[in-house]
Amino acid sequence: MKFAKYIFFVIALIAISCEDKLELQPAQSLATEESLSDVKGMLTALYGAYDMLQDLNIYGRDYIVMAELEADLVYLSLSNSNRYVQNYTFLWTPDNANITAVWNDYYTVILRCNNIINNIDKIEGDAAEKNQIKGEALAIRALSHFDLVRVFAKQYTQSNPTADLGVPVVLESKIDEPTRNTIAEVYNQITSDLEATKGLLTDKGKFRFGPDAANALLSRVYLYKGDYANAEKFASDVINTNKYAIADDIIAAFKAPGSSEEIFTLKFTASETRGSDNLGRFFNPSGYGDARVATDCISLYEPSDKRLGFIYKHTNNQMYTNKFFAQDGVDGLFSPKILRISEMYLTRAEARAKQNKFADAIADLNAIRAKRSASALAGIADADVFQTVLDERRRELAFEGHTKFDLWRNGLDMVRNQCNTGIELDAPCNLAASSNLRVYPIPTREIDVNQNMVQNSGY
Amino acid sequence: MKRLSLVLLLVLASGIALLAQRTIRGTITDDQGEPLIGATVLAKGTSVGSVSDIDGSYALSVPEGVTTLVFSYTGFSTQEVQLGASDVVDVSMSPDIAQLSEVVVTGYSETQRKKLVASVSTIDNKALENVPLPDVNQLIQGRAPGVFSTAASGQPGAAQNVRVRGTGSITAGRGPLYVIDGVIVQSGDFSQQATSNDILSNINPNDIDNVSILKDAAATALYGSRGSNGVILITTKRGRAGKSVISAKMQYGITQPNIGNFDLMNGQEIWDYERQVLANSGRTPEQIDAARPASLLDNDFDWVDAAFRQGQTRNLELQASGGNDKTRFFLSGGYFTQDGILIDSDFSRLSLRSNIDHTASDKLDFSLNFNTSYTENLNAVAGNRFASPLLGAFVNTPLQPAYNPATGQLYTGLEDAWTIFSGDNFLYSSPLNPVVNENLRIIAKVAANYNILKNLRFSQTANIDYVDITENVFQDPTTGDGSNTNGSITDSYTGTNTLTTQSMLKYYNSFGADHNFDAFAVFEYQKFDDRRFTANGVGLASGKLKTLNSTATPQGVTGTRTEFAFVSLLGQANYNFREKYFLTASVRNDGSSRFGANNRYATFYSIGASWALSEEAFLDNINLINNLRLRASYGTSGNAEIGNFPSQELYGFGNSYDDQPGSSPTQIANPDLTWEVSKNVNVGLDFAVLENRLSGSIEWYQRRGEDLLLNVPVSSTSGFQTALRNIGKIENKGFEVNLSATIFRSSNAKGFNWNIDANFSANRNKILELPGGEDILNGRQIWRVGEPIRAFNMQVWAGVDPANGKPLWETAEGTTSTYSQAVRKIVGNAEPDFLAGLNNTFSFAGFSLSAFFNTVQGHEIYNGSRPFVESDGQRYGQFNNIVEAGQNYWKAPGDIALRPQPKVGGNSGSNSASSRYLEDGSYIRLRNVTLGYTLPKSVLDKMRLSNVLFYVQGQNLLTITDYSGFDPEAEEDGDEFFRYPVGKSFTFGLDISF
Repeated sequence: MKFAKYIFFVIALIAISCEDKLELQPAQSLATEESLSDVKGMLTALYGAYDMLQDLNIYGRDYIVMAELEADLVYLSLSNSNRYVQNYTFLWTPDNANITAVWNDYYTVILRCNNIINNIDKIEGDAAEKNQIKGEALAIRALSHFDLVRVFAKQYTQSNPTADLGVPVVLESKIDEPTRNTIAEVYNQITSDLEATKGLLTDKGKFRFGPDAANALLSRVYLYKGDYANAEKFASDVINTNKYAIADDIIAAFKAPGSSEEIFTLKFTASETRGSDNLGRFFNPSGYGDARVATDCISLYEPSDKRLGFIYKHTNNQMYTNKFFAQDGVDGLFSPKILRISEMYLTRAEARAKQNKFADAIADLNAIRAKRSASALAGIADADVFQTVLDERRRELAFEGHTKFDLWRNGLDMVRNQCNTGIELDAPCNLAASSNLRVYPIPTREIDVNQNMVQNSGY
Repeated sequence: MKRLSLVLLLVLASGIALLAQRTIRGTITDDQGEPLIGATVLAKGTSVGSVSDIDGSYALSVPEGVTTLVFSYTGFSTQEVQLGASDVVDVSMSPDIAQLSEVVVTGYSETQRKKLVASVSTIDNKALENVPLPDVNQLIQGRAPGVFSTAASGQPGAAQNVRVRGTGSITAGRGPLYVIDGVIVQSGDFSQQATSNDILSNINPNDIDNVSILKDAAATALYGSRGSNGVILITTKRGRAGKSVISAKMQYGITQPNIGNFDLMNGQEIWDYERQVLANSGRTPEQIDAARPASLLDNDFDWVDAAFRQGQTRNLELQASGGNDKTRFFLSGGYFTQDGILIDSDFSRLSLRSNIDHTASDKLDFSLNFNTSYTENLNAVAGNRFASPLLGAFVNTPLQPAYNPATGQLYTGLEDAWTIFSGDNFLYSSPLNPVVNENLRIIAKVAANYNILKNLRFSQTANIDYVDITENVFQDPTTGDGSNTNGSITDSYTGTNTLTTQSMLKYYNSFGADHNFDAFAVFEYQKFDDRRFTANGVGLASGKLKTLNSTATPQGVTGTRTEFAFVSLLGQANYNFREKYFLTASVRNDGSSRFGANNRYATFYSIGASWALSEEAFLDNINLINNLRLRASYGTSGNAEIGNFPSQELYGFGNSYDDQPGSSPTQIANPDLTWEVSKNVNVGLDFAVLENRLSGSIEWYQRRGEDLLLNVPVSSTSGFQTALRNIGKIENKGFEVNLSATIFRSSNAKGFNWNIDANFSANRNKILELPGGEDILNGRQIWRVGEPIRAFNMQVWAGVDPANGKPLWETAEGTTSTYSQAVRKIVGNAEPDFLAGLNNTFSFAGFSLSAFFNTVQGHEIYNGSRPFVESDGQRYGQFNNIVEAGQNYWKAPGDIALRPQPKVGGNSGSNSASSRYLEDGSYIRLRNVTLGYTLPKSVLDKMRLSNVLFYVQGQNLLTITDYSGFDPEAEEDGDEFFRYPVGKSFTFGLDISF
């Protein structure tokens, strides 16, 4: 019996001492409160938001490629890896994985920003550092709402913005079923977030949102909104800082991030390569090489134009672009130049043309053309200035994810002059300005789980 | 304290100290008078026992008060003998035909078949031994009712998915718990780089004595929060006192590829077809000639033939076992290699085992189990990638030759003349780009047992399950995969360590002749620790450099660590009255680090009873019935396979921006999150009739899973797509039949014998409750209340429009050629209606022949390969096509055709997911045929050998199915995409015992 008692005692002891053995904590995660408890934690969370912008489905590749494949400067090769086929052919359905991922991704970015914006005032720490983090989070949130509204809703200038639906504005991320705000409400939130960064931001280099990047984004947003005075004003604000210069050698500028052109660049380091999923590998024949350059694009340039250097003929006699060729020697790696100074000149030119300041508009274009070895524009009739600006914009920003939006927001038909010749995937050769397909469907999964969600017309 | 009351009770209930003793001696023989070596004799109601020696003789010191001795031996009926005045008791034992005294391992203890109230299927080593498959999970398919084993890949050593009595969970773990020699071990796939690798393939099936599968709560409640998906108990062989037996096993076999009904076009066929596709797309003859010139036919190539091969299997093994009444041992060492039927895939295993038992005294005994095994697995470029031979065989058009016709050299895939979009020629790259998984596993267990009193036994065990996996992915700079990075090396390391301790008290006693009682209580602690890291480097000066050190640029290092712990207290009490009425009650309390703070401890219980009708007087006169028993049980068990930290709100730190560390929300808080509960009812009938010639059991069960953990989809405006909740209910109910029949029984051992073993099971799965009653889409399937968990939900194919050759799908009212307008409906179910296995065994004059069939019936498979190889032109120029794709397609208005008009880029998305590609997956397979010959005893005696067995064996020789894919043994979810097929194999083997 003595022995039995001893055993009983040992068991009781083990049982008691094991209680605390059940309190295990994960080794690679921290509780939310703990991780956002100081400035360093907030800064880490901010990098987390930038990191999400790099996702493959948005600035990592898809958002840029989709905006080009739905337009006329590139075509999808007949022999392809079955990527973005629905985008090029406009045959997407509301459950399209890429479109769904854009929606999911930007709201994930917004969650990461909201957790910072809504909590940073509660923590102790250096005010300047806190302001900086908050300002950047506001700017990233504005960019996210903007990138959502310009694909999931009609263009501001092509809609009744106070009645037509935009996307839900999410300022506090929680499990909820939000309704869609109007397009005007979304734009108001974007501009107010960007205005709120005033006084918070200082320049932390080209790879983070600084005060100039906030202004540059405002300029773009106002251009999309048709508020040309403000678009011009904010473009001028950025240009007049004189911190940025139109690159002398644009080809070289695209080989590495950090050139004088750039206002905000989402930097990918060499170790962040996604291999065959790098942006450039969708354009490079060494990669999928599915997106090739159409004659619509090539015919834009004068023979002397340096930008023709971005286009080359491969051994298969088809035309490719090397704009995203190989940063750091890594095939197809590219750090998207989200905001660059040439865009500011082009935005200002467009805003000026819309305000009938034709000579100033042409001067802005010539500022770029001079650096690109293109002949100076002269004697352009006032009636032709707007189209001249758009052409220059297509020339300068080709493949960078602007082409579709520039047509859409100006209510222009999209016409593929090189179409169905046997080397492209069979697809529609044009898309009228009135087409419902200029607006993506709200993803099926969102409609399924959110009873307040309204689908876009035509889906 | 409450948790310990059971232990206390048992301790206090123990009897009185031992008094005087007497020694009983005798011999134990079989019914022919041959001595039985290693038979057990036990003083009834105590733990005092002994085993017979080489002459069948025994000696046992019997404690005062003991009136009965119990004699038992595997395969013989247990016999009880009343002690009289004589100290000599000789016993002649008779064979146990109805297997009533078969010992059934039930996890923390073992019992005789006749005393079992629970539902437990057993598979003995006859069904497992010498089958040329590396993983015991593959061997149990079709052998036990209600047990369904599938795999995502037919690659040797690939992870297997086993389901016991249907699928009991939606998002938490669905596989059974694995227990080896009484200790819960890790199972599943721990690899990081290889597509799949089953750590159970480290266990040599020839070391296994038997496998028990616990199915109802009366059996699984003892495994508490981890038992709801069933428990697979693996018991390894142990030594037996008597003459030492040394045996050698040698096996050699070949495996031939078998891609079933899947038939691809040859060069001419694809050339003709694609030209037609071009013509259908309005291309001019000149354009067609330019795209598909006749010159392509000069060098066409059979890629399937190049990707598959005949594989070899070799096995060499030595076993030694024996011992005396003090010490018994079983030792084995084996080396098994198997080539995959796909090039550059193989598996090899070196396994060593020693199981040793030592009886130090009447009171104290020890045992040691030590198993070390090392496997090496070569993966054909990690499975389903376009660069793998598996996909390459079907992706690559026969019009693309593997060899450059000008030079005779293999294309690397980077040349301009290489037209295939993957940019990779697997014949070139696979040998250069190995994916290797090396797996070291050590399972060691030490147990000490002490008989505190004659009927109270204490056991303490400690067990370590250590798994060490190193993986290496190599990409040669000259191959398509390696060219981007100029060569890449990825090394991964995974180390998991599971430490388990068990303290157990066992008590047994008989009160008078009628009341028999035993009980045990266990305290168990288990801690699991998993550490991993992966490092990648790129830039190799030469493909001959194989280590990370030789890479120019480090690319990334990741490391993770995770843990869990369980602290459990459990107990079971068994009572029977005259071995006629049986009652068993079990309880287990689990505390786990995985559960939310608000729900840290879980209690599970079961109660079961059985009634031996055949022992009743009213059945005594019916000679027809030899055994008739009714069993019933009810109880609960749980599912704690819910991830290690599911309840906490977390920020993860895996990300970075511009080389600065980043963090992001990874999980929403849910402190209430906890285990899933399964409530189980089981009713069974065991019977044996016609002089035990027909025996078996019939069982009916209902298994209801509650508080199911579900990733409930939420609006992604929250930044999350899903949130985890304990919500939802699921039900599995069904019945199982197990039959064993002696069709022909010869009176002498060398005569003709014919036995049939058959099993049949039918399970119906149904979702009972979902959050808000709303459907949850699960890819091509849907979770809907009232439907099975594997209900296919997709657009319904309505054929081809005779007017224009466009595809048609059903809408609510009619049909449409616009895919986005088609509605999705439930069109099938991947869960089979029934499973069955049938084994015939014949023996005559040293020859034995067995033929084992299994069948899975009444389920659908989505053949996800067909949209690629029967795409109506959508994959023009990228994929080869199956022969059928070029047949019966629409050509002219009015055609009633099976397939739409094929066009470049496809015809209106006709190959989008729809019921067009959903097929009946039913099959019957002749899984194993073995013909063996055992040398006669007269010859053996001359050769001084104790046994020699020759055998030839065939695996998967015949498959009857309508399924058009490679292999109807699809993955559990019924979604097939270029699954690595299993082959047909022929094996020759020789077993010699000295």
